[in-house]
Parts: sequence; C-alpha cells; structure tokens
Amino acid sequence: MYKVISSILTAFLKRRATVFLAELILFVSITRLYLLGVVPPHASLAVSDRFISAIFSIGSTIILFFLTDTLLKKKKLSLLISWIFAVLPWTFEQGRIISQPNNCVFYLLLILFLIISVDSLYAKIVLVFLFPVIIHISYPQIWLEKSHILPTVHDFLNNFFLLTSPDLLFFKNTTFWWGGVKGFGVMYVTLLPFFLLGVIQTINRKEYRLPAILALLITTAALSTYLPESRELFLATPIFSFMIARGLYGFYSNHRKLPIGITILLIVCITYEMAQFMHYYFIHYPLYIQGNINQIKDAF
Amino acid sequence: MRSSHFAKVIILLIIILAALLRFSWLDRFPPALYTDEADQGYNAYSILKTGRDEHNTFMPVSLRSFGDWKPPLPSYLMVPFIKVFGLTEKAVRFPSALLGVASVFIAYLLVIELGEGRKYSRKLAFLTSYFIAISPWHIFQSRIAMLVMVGLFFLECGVYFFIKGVKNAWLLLISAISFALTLYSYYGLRVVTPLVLVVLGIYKLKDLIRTPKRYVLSVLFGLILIMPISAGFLKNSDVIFGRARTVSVFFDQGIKLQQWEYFTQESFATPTVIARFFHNSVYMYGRNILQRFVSHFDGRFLFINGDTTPPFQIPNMGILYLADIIFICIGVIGLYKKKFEGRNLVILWLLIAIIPAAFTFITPSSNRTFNAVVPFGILTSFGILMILDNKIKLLISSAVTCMYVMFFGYFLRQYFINLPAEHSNWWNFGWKETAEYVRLINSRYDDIVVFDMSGMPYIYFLFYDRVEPALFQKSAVRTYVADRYGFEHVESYDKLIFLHDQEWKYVKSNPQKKTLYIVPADQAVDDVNYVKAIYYKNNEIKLKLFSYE
Repeated sequence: MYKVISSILTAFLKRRATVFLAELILFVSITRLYLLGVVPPHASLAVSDRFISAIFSIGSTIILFFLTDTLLKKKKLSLLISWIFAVLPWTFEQGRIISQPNNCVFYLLLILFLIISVDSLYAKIVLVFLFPVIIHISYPQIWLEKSHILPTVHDFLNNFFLLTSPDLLFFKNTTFWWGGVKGFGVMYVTLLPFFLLGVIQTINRKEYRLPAILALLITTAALSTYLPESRELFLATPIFSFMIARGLYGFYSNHRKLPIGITILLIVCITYEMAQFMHYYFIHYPLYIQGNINQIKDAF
Repeated sequence: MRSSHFAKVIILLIIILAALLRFSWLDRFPPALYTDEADQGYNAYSILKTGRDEHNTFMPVSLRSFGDWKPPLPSYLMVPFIKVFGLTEKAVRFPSALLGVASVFIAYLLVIELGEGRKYSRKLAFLTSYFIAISPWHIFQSRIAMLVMVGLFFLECGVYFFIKGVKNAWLLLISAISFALTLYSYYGLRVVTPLVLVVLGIYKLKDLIRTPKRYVLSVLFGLILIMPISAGFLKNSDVIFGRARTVSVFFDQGIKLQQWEYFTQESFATPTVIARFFHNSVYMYGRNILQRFVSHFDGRFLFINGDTTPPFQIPNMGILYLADIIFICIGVIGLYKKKFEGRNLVILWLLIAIIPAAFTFITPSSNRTFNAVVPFGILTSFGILMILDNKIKLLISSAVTCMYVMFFGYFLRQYFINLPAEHSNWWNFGWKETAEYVRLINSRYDDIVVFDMSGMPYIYFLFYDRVEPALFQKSAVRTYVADRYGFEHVESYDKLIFLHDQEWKYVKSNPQKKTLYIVPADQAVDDVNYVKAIYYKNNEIKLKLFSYE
C-alpha cells in the first residue's frame, strides 16, 4: 500500500513544470471565477468590477511564478510559491471582490518582474520610480492617501502587534469587518509550522532583504489609523507565500526519508483545512454577508 | 577565587534588589486583598486555630474554598506567617514574596546547570536572575498570593535538582519532593509537571538508561507524596479537576453554539454526512484550543496591554518589557546558533507552560502561564548576551541599560501609582473599610444584609473581623449549590446575610426593621439616603450602606 502511494506521489512530482503551471492557472481561474456574481452576495451589482479583480488575482499568481522562477531558478519552488499564493484565504477572498490592494499587488509584481527582466539601467530606474505612482493610481484607498494623521506610539505598537498577531494571521482576519471572511486568517493554520520554518531558513541563509521588506510593509500598514479596517498588509501576501513555500520546500528537501505516514498526514491536514475554507466560503460566508448587507456601503 | 567572590557579590546584589521590589509596601500594593487571597489567608488561619479549613475538613488535601477546590500548599505555607504577623495582608502575601526572591536565586543556579560549563553560562545566569528580578510579571505575581508563585518555585527546584541529580542521587529525592509539591501548589502544574518530567527524562535519557536504579527511589518517594491528593481524587474528582472543569473550553458554550449555528445553516443545503465532516467537534475544539495557545504569543498581550482579565493587569503595560521583544527573538536564534545545552528544554518548557491555559476559555492568561517567565527570562538574557558579543560592547551595553532603566521606571510608575488608582475596583478595594465600619455599628442591628453580586464578600468579613474559625465552621449556612460559574456561596452566618440572587430595587420597597443593607453602588444609583458610602481609590462609590432602624 505504502509502495503504491509512494510511487503515485513520485510520478506526480516528476511531471513537467509546465503541466503544473497549466493546472495552477486552471485552478486559480476556476476558484476566482466560479459563482463570481453570487458569492459573496453583492451590495450593488458589480460583477464586471469583480471580474477585473479576479483577472488581476489570476495574473498575480502567474507573474509571481515567473518572477520567483527568474530570481530563484527553481521551478518547483516557484510553483509552490504561486500555488500557496493562489490558495491563501485572503488572496482568495480579495480576488473575488472589488479590491484595490488586490489590483495593487498585481501591478507591483508586474513592475518588479519587469525590473529584473529588462537589461537597460535607465528602464530599471524609471520602473523603480513607477512604484509610488502605481500605488497612487491602483490603491487610492491606501491610508497615506486618505489621511495624514499618524497614530500615537501606543496605537502604532498596538497596530503593529495586531498585524503580526497569530490571531489575524491564522485565525480571524478582521481587516474587512462586514464583508470579509472572518472565520479564517490571512493564512491557513496548518501552514504555520512551514511559515516559521521559512522565516528561520531565510534568516539562516542571511537573506535579510525579504524579511526587511516584510517588516517595512508591516510597519507602513501599522501607521494606518484605520486599522483593523485597513488592508495594506495584503501587499505582503506574496512574501507570506514565499516564506511558507520555502519552509515547505526545505522541509521536504531535508526530510526525504520522512515516513510516508507523516507526509500523508500533513497533506491531509492542509487539504482538509482548504476544504474547510472552501466550504465556509461558499456555504456560510454568503449567509453572514446577507445579514450584514446594510452595513456595507459600497459595492464590493 | 577572586571571580568566585565577585560572583557572590553580584548575585547577592540581585537578590537584595529582588527582595526590595517584592517586600516593599507588600500590604498596600496591590491596593487590597483579592477574594482568593483573603480566602487562602482565612483558611490558613482556620488551619492554624483548628487544624481544619472553613468547611470543617481536617488537614485538607484540596481547599473546597468557593467550590473551586484550591490547591492547599500556599495556604499551609501562610500558617507560620499568620502565627507571627497575625491575620493581615502582609502575612498572606509573605510566602509568595519570599519564594519570589528565592525563585530568582534558583533561576541563577538552574541556568548555570543548563549551560553545562560553557564559559558564558555564569554571565547568562546573572542576566537571567537579574531580568527575572526586575520582570513586571514576576514582581506582580510575587506580591500577591495567587498560588502560581509557590508553584513556580517548586517547579524550578524540581528541574534544578533533577539536572543536578545526575551527579548526586540524593538530589533526585529533593527533585521528587519539589515536583510532588507543585501538584499541591497550582492546578495548571498538574498538567505542566508531568510534561516537564517527560522532557527532562528525554534530556537525561542516557543517564536514565545507564543507571535506572538511582531514579527508582525518587520516583517511589514522589508517588508516596502524591498519594494523599490521589486518594482525595478517588473520593471526589473535584479535588483535582474542580476549577479546571468550570474554566475549560469544553464547559464554555461558545463552540457548541457555533456548531449549532453551522448545522442550522447547513440544513437547507448540505447532506448531514458532509455537514458533520466539516463541523465536527474534533476540528472545532482543536482549532479553538490552538488559537488560544498561540494567542499567548500575541505582542499586544506580551508587550502592550498585558492580561486584561481582572485583576492581573498593570495599566498600559505588557507582562514583559517592550524592549524584550528584540532580545527574545535574538535569544531564540542564539540558543541554537551557539548550541546552548539546554536549548530544547528552554523552548519546550515555554511551550508546555502555555498548554494548561490553552484549554481554558479565558485567554491569553498571564496567571496560568506564569511558569513561562523563566524561559522568557533565559531567552531575553541570551539575546542580550548575543548582541554584547560585539566589538562595540560598551556602547551596546550602555544603550541596553538606558533602555531598561527607562522601561523599569515606567513599570514602577504604572505599578505603584496607576494600578491602585485605575484598578482598585478589580482588587475589591473597600471591603476592609466596610468590615471595620460594620464592626463599629454591629450592635444596632438584628441583621446585616450584604448584596453578594460580585466576589465573595463573606470572606472579607471573616478575614477582617478575625472570626473564630470554630464558630464559623458551625454557624455558617451553606447550600453547596453552585452558581452558573461553578461557585458556591455562603448564605449567612451570625448576623450577616448574603443575597446573591436578589436585587436592591426589589428589596428596598419593603425593607426589614433593625437591618443594615450593604448595596453595590451600581444597584442604588439614584438612592441618596444612605448612611455611609465606601469609595474606590479613584473616588467612585463602591458600596452604599442603608440603615433601617
């Protein structure tokens, strides 16, 4: 029995990356477009706008693959990063509603990809300067645009710890109170050990740039006086995906002789939680939204 | 020789600092005795006078108390101090403060043992004992009689003597006694101690396999020591699980209601099998327990707001200093990079310390996870040691010192000035004054009716009136029917009657003659004909006393 499962897993993993990528695109397209006009129930009819969000979300997943593949030269790891990005509860939720941070992530990933792809130094400089412009255009609701009042030190620290709290990251995302999926966090809780492993591995390899960018994003998000109803942290979801994927990849690479029982258990746990999320999203979440519909002023 | 002398001076200074922070104005800060402190104090007084607790049980292995079955050791430890100081706040808190200071010293010894001869282990031990000595969390718990300080001391002793016991078998015996005593000290340690023992067993597995006979005697001795509580458990399961039952996540209705809500929503769309697959109890409780577990690593709890459950909060402060966050992170990495011998023990201890709290519905909790103060202290100290391992040592140490002086100053202000002002209601301030006032005018009334809406006021009258325990054991009227929180109330004794299911607005329309009514101020907002008002420290009225002669 073990041999059979083991051989199936090996055969599955040996397939070409392009096939996986095609499957990933198919998967992310289905998850973003399926019942788009129905779930979540809309405050006012906004399916076309949601469609754009969904396309951006699909696009982000694809660009993230090419971006990480160019940077890391590891197809399997890049696929894993994109796959995790595609299935995270928050990217899933934001990819199906009108969401400025979701669109902003797409543009930022695209610019980043262009920066590392083009050879001309001038083009690179122009693209770097495009960052704030793109944020300004694609994410007008970012706190910097709405308010120039800074929080007190106490409030800032409170925000910072809220954004880094296990509660928000793994259990209860309250950044969109009336319209969001509050039953789940930014990430699945079963990914917590891999996220921690990823962070440790990144630090161990002295790759401080990514944690520094993450810290900068969290600090910037924590300066928002609108928190917890503020979604700037969404810009960090590609980095979260990277950390988790690195942890997962490193775990399997270092534990090739890991008992197949444990491997299956881990896969089952992750799959089960994803199934839980999908079930919650399509069955229970619409009912909560219907109850809150009067509280949501804008189309979403 | 010189360095050994220097070490002794340093640790002595740290212990003096710890003692100053723990014994100064012990009776005044926190501002009043909390209900549980008064209860333990009175039970110690009762044991001193009669050998029995307030429920007339001879030498109890668990104090029935308010129906929450408190572990008895802290009360037994109060007995000699009550004999010396009388039944006072100081006597009640003295054992905690004393063991708090001792715990600082044991932490020092423990870290030296964990370091196993590393050249930095003594420095680390100094830093750890120093940071535990000035830890807000440790100081707070050392100055109150809430069981956990006693528990921590014996747990530290157990771990220390276990590690030392590798060289000397007699020390294993002391370790066994200490571990057994933890079970009589605090509920949470009934989970923590066995798990810590498992970790220690793995930590010293080679020695355990090589010379198992050395451990047999200690194990047997430990088992003999826990026989009384085991026998008590066989007679009545509440002896061990009393409080745990009423605060557990399984007692709370939240998850059950959520499950019911999901099933109701499903009934229209999904087959029952699928609904059960998604909303089964194992998943829902498992997720909830995990969420409660990791909530103890929330920065808001650790560094900003602390424990918001009354009475465990120091206003606007976490249970750790804000600066600790940097050093804890560096410390975790440093433990593994430097291959510190006790690294796994420290991390596992930290994780184990949180397990009991994760199974309760009041999280995050600083009280139930208190023994994590030691691993946190070690991690902070290791972090500081790591950053001092640098060419600009002097500059860094000056910066770190300045930072901690600032945070420590802030803590002193919050603890000694703002805590009494802001949280005197949490500490049930005012009952002492009430009891003293009632004692003066007692003879004028046939009955004194106390509205028992929060806390257990009867215990304050017993405590401050130094009521003869033998008299109370005979005259107390109790139904032993638990309220919805699992607490058992006293109905009356002597002239005092405690109403816990009636409201003043119904009673005041038909008051009894020659009766004094003691009413919470929020029930008598508009009534101004009171004879006396009892105030909190912030000048808000706590109680109004109405006289009908």
